[in-house]
Amino acid sequence: MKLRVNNCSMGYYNKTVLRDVTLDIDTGDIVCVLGRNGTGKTTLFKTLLGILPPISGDLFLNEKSIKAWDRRKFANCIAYIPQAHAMPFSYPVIEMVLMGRISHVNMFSSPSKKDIIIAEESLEKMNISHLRDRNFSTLSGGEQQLVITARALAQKASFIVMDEPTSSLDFGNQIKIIKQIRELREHSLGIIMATHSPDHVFMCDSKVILVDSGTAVMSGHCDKVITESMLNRLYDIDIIINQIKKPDNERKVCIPLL
Amino acid sequence: MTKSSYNSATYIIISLLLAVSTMISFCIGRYGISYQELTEALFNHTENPFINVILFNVRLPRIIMALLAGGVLSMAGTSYQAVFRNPMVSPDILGVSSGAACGASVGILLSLNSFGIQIISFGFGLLAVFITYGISKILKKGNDEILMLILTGMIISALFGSAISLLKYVADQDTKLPAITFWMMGSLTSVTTSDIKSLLPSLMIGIIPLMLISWKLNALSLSEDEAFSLGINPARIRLITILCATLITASIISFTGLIGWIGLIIPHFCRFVIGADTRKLMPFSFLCGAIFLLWVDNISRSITALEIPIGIITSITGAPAFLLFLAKGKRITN
Repeated sequence: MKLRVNNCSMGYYNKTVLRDVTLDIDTGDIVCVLGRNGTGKTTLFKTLLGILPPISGDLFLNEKSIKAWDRRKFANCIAYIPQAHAMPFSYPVIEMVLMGRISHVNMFSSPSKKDIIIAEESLEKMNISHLRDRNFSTLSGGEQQLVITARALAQKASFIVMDEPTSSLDFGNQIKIIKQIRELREHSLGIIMATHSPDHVFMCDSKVILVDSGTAVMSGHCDKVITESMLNRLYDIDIIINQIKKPDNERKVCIPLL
Repeated sequence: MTKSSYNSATYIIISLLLAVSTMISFCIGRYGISYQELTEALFNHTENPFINVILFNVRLPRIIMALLAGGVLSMAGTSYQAVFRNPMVSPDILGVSSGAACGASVGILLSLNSFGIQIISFGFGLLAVFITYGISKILKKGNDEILMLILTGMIISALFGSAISLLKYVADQDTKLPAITFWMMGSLTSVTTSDIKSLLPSLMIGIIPLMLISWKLNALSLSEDEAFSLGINPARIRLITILCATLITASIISFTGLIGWIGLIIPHFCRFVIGADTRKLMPFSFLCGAIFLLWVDNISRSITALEIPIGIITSITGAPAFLLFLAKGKRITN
């Protein structure tokens, strides 16, 4: 599947946040979204999810305009993994994952055996089958993030939009999530992920969307895009980028200078 | 014990409790009926016309009404809590109760018969919700819709509250004022079989969609954007649920008068027992609420020679129970 943003302006009622946005995202891609706080990453995500209609321009999913799609069906093709947040009620993990099936079930029906099987398979794919009957709120932040990702798999969406999936996680859990994200690419899912860590971009070996000065630009692969001078401009700090060279683990790392 | 067998065991226990409570309730009252007399009257035919009248004309409609009212108010409470993502809301929150109470006061003031009072209080209850919902929609723009609904509900409740005070002030002190005051305290004293018959259709119209939609209510616990990106329309589910829950709440209290607290504490209690999954919580809170109100009514009609209004008993038992849940809540959910 292909998600194309064609010359879009994005924003709210009378306030345009991003202009002239043109992006092409394929399934099988990981795309990291980099940008300072408050530059419009959330606006971009809400537009991609179909929550916020574009002010001008158009979005295409499989060459079909968002205007021709039922907006909820459009949204359902693009799963959303928000930042970890508290739930008012605590559901068992399996129920959380089953929620991913909700649009596949009629308005006045309950999930069938098939839906439960799909939910269990999603847990398996994320290697968290052992959490099935635990209560969601008793899980660690990292486990919760994995459960929400399993929900996105159960949803059978083609794209997953992740809003800083590693924020509020400890170092180990951050890396575990990154590993899982790399595996999702193998399931031919398209992943669009906001992050504040250029290191995570190198770890995902991904493309980069830069959100800066009122627009979002698909800038290309991280190896070419993320340079010392670019990070210096973006975050206004001095950074050096080094190459680690270990067998099977060759990648760049960012080291901020104090 | 696995989760599902724990759940079925809980359902079996609560159903047995319901059956036993109902049997006991037939025997309790100012005219005591023994267990033998009860089984004889129920399963054979008793020669004693007096017992027949008491059982089938007096106690039976009252017991059914207690079960229905307790169940329905708890179910409505469960629905509102799911819709507003808040375990602390109850049927009063949208102004349903105060709207219905205001309508009943108008009815009493106009000397309408009991059917007229029910119709007008039901109409006012629905009106209050529509005003609340409408105003919050207008004010919403960019703000948190749910917070707006709750705040508007409080304002509308306060408005109807002052309207009630005004009506009480102008009411005839010897006849109308006591009637209004008594209605506010809730009672099942005058329930008849025909009351229940006329109540059933509107209850069915409300309860059936609530049961069917209960699974989808789980997803309303998620943030608005999250629910939307799962491919559902949270606003539509919320509207259907509010309409149904309001319909059944207003139908019940237009017959029984105000009965507070049940819609708040019973769903709370049930969540501790059976978990937060609304699919299981809906029927379970109906059963628990039914049993609770049945016993409240039993106490109300047997503890003293003069009946104590049930609204008073639900408050006296509800307030401390709720405090207990608040104190224990953190520990149990974790």
